[in-house]
This record gives sequence, C-alpha cells and structure tokens, in this order.
Amino acid sequence: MAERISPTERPVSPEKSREEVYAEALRTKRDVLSSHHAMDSLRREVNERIDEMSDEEFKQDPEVAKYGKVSKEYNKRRKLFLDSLEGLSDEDKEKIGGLTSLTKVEVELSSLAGEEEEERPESLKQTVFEKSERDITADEVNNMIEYSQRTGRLLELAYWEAKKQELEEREDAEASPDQTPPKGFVQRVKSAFAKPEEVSAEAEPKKPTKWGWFKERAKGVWNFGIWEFHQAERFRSKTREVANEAKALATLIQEERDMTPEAAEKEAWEIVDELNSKGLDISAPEFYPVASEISEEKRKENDEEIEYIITTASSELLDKLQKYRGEAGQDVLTEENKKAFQEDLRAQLNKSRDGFLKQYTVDLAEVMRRNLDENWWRRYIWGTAEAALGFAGVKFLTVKAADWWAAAKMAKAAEGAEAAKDFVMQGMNENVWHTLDQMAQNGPKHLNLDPAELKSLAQKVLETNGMFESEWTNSLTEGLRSSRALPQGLPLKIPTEVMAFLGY
Amino acid sequence: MADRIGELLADSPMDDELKQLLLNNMEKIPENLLFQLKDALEMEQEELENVAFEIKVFLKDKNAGWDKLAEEQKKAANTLVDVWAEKLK
Repeated sequence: MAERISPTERPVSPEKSREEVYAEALRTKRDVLSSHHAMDSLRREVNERIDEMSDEEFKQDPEVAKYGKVSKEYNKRRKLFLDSLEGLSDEDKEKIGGLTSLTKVEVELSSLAGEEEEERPESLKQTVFEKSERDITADEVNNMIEYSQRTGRLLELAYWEAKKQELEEREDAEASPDQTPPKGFVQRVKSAFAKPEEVSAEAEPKKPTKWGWFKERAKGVWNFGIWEFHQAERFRSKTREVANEAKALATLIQEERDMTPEAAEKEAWEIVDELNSKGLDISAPEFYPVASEISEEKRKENDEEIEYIITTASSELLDKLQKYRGEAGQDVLTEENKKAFQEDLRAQLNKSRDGFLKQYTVDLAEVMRRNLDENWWRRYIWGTAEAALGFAGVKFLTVKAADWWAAAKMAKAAEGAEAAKDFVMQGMNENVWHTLDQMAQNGPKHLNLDPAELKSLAQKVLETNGMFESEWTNSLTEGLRSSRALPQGLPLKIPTEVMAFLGY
Repeated sequence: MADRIGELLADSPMDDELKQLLLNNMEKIPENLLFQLKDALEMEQEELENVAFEIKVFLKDKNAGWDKLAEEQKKAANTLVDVWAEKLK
C-alpha cells in the first residue's frame, strides 16, 4: 500500500525555460492591461449615454459596437493571460501579481535580460486610451503640475500635487519594504471606512450612481453573493449529476410559472442541455433565480401583453364569426368555445415567452461566466491583495483571500459562528497531503514533515472535513467524500491543533 | 491614501469579517503592501463596474428581443384567430 498520496509535479514545458515562461506571462499581462484600459475608456463613454439611448440608437451606436469588439479582444487576452500563469512557479505568480499597473509590467519586461522590444499588435498601436491612474508616471504628473500652474487651474493643481506626493510616498514605501504606515494612518482609514453617506433631506432624490445602479439593477446577483455563488458552483461542478440538476431546476420553474410538471421538466432539460453544449460550467438551479430576478420586470410586462393579446384576439374572433354568420356568430362562440380558444392561444403565447426566457437564461449565464470567472478574480484582483492580507491575518498566511472569506461564510452558515473558531480554512493545493506539506514548509517553522507525521495530520483534516482516503481505510465510508475526487482550491477546514503543530 | 483605502474597503463586496480583519491589523501591514492593497481594491471596483455595465448592455440588447417577442406573439394570435374562425364558422 502506498504510504503517500503522491503530489502531482507541476508540468514543466521542456521547450521553455523558467525565464521564458515568466516573460511570456508578463507580455500577456501587458496585453490584457492595455485592452482593459481601452475597454474601460469606452465603457465610461458609453455608460454616460446608455440610459438615455433608445433601443434603436443603442443598436446603431458606433461606440457601442466598438465596445463590443474591444470587450471581445479583452476576454481573449484575459484567457491567454490566465493560461500563461499555469506554467509559473508560485514565486513568479506572486511577482506578477504585485505588478499592478501597465507601467510596472512594462518596466519589468524591459529589465529582463535579453528581452527585446516586441512588435506590438496593430490593434494596440492604434488604440488611444485614457491612462489608468495607476499608470501615471512622475514626469507626467510634473507636466500636469506645470500646466495647471501656467493656466491658473487651482483645483487641478491641488489634485496633481497630491498625486505627486502619493507617487513619492509609494516610491519610498517600495524602497523600504518593512516600513509600516505612519501614526494616525489606520485611524484615518477607519474613519473613511465608517463615513456615512451624506444625505440631504431637502435635496431631490439623486440619480443613482454607477455603483448604486449595480447594487440595484443586479440585485439578484448581488444578494445571492458573487463569491458564494462561485464557491457553491465549485463544490458542485465536479460532482453534480445532470439528472438531479434538471430535476431541481424543473421544480423551480414549476413553482415560478403555471406549468405542468412535464412541461417544466422539458424546459429544465433544454436549459441544462444548452448550458452544457455551450460549455458553460454553471449550476443551472442556482443560476436560474438570478436570471429570473433580472428578467422579472420584463417578464411581468409580457404577461400583461399576453392577457391584452388574448382579450383583443377574442374580440377579433367574434367579429370574424359575425361576418360569416351575422348575429348567429355570437351563438357559435359559446363560452365553452371561447374558453378553449383562449386556452389554446395562451398556451402558444406562453410557449414563445418560455422559449425566449430559456435563451435569456443561457445568454445571461454566458455574460456572467465571462465576467465572474473565478480564476480571473482570484489571480488578477486578489492575487495582488494576497500579500497584504497575509500580513493582516497572521493565521491565514497561506490562505487565499477568496477561499477564506467564502469558506468562512459557508462554514458559519452551516455550523454556526462558534464552530468556525475551531478550524482555519485553507484552499486545497493539489490534494490534502500536498496542502499540509506546503503549509508546513512555508509556515513559520519551515517544517519538513516525514510521511508518518503528514499521514497523521492528513487523517485529522480528512475526518474534520467528512472525507476519506481510499488507501487508508477499510471501514465504512458511507456519507464521506473521497479525497481523490476533490476540486482544486476546495476550502478545507484545518483543525486548530493541526495549525498549531504546523507552527501557526 | 488612507481615505481612499477606507472608501474602497467600505464599497468592496468583500466579506465584512475580512474587512474588519484588515482594518484591525492594518498597522502591521508594510506600506508598500498597502499601496498594492489600494491597487487591488481599485481593480476590484473597476471590474465590478464592468460587470454592472455588461449586465446593462445585456439588458439593453435584450430589450429589442422582448419587443420582437411581443410582435411575434401578436402575429401568432392573428393566425390562431383565423384558424378558429375557420373551425367555428
């Protein structure tokens, strides 16, 4: 019997050196940041007008069309960037994560030995975009200060001087990496954090801000919780059964709409099949309420439209019959016939509406999947914050932020706040054995545990998480989850006694 | 920068417990990492605005679809009126 769960070695491409893989990842990050700025700039421009645009204007707007193209290019580059990270060591990933601006990425690229200026794609050369604040250089700030002074723009001058000071502080901070914030800094963060929104009783209700709009408009997504949604998906994506999924979705559809169980099941299968055929790895029963909430208003409008059409069509039918049969037309359209006609019509109209909603759900799933890609958020957004978070949560040094907060919430919801204190959440790295091995090596004591110690710790973790390792047990495993079938990154509960053993 | 981090944290969809954890331990975080944290929070906000905008574009795009659906439903109703009129006359 094998004593150890063999950790899977990171695949190393025989053709490329570590430096080449790193440079390639840097180049893909540079490309993604470039198109991100281009897209951002267009988005701001369109966003200012979109609410006032009629549907027709929206369809014909050149900037909207341009946004669509840039957004497509951005998504393509984003995927290339994520793929390029796969071959990197953790150290290089962290290094790239810390390069938070296009300027920093370009500086790093040019500093690489032998790295020559690469011919940029035409689309990038031609794109003129507004720079992100993170990309503004000291020279540019100085130019703006000089310009503001020369033109007497006092407010702008104050802004650029503050910007200059920030850049200098950042430089100092980067030069002395151990320097902690000055006295009073934390209090100021806390004050800004707690500052209530200023509301004037007399003022007219303000037009919702972009942020407010998001919270309002995408309420379904927001309330459901982006991360919980993703976390729940991660748990299910590898293990869920399509049949159960369709069944659960059918129940939801039937509860929401006046449908027979057979029709609801048919529609559920159509949605599940369509999602699968498009490769949208999304849990349909969990996504459906989100889509439903977002489409609710329009669906209600269409319900009213259906009732109006039925009333109008009933009158038209009577008119036609009276044309054929004179006053006797009234007799032909008996209550029974009228009811049968209306039922027939309602069924047809509902069928078209349901077909539209089915496509709506699938299309929205596509938008969401593209925008809420977990890898992207973790690697692009939280990869950057991870180091800071590590310092903040001493116990969570090796814990991915996204895992931590999603898992902490889930654990709290499932078992109560008290239970959550008995363990620490840790995203699984390859498998339980490897996760503990890495935590030991990278922890405060830098331990190199022997196989017996690792096995003992791994067993404790498996027990805490209701899991088993098939090679270590001959007993009943009913209700337990095989450690061989766990998704990468799965939040594991690490008991505090194991954490203590590892030196945390 | 302190004000900006505070505002960004308040607006972040991050779990409240994590926010508190950050606030309570902020004095231990080296300054250079605080700059990175600010960048990350700004990127998070940009990405969320992007998600909101994409939903907005999606809804705007679908509005035309809803209108088309209503038109098709009206046409379907006209056809059915003819079928039933024929059947009952």
